[in-house]
Amino acid sequence: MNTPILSRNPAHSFSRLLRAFDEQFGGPDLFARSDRPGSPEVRLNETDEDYTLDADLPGVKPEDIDVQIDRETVRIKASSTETNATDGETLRREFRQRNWDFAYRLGGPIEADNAEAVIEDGVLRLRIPKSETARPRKIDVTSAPALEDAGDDSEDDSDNA
Amino acid sequence: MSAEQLIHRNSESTTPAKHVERLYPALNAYTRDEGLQLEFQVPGVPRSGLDVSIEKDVLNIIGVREVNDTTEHRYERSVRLPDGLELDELEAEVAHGILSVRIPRAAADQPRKIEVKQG
Repeated sequence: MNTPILSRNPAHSFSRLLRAFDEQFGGPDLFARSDRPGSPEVRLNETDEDYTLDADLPGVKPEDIDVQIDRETVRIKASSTETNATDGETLRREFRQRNWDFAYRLGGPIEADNAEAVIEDGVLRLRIPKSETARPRKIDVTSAPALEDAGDDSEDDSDNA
Repeated sequence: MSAEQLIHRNSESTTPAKHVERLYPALNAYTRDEGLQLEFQVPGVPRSGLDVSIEKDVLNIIGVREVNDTTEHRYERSVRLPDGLELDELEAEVAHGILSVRIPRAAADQPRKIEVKQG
């Protein structure tokens, strides 16, 4: 994962003002502070076939996450790794090493054996199929067979309605 | 109509307008002997969704994440960089939703060990 992702603006570094090194991060940022730094956010969705859960877990490696399903409850434990600069000084710290432990109760029976969990770019994506019995089923509606004479020959009518 | 125009028209007609949510990524900043290290939280942003640029002494970070078919998260932050850095040597990488930017100190600013001679 050491691929550089840099694109440079050619109009750079004309003059740099003389400032003390540690003043830099005390000043205001150019963009207004808004929203939620470090947002651990979860999106839970339900379709006819499955439940899907997306959880933002920045800094969490695949080996540092544990997903357990017990009946209708899914429980997620995760720990983020922090890259500490041991030989230097911290200028700003807006997020820390974190341990998450959270659980969701799903709305019905599920097939835990067929659940899939993937973590990519610091986001856990979980898909848990619903049990067959919990899925909505479409029931064919047919018109009732016309009742003819209720005689002995009614047994001959097709019986698959 | 040229092929390019046609492609442009097609892409316009098939791409639905996405709701863009602007987010401000959390930042950790450290000095190290070698230079400055910045870490931004950008969960869900793939490498292809990141744009790191420098304009004069300001570092700009943009990270775009497709949340679903209708929503896009746009992480955006600018940081004024201190003096004495080798901006041409900036390196950036992303792993597990954390964007790391490292900028070495200019050679003149590197800590140097001075040998003390016997008088």
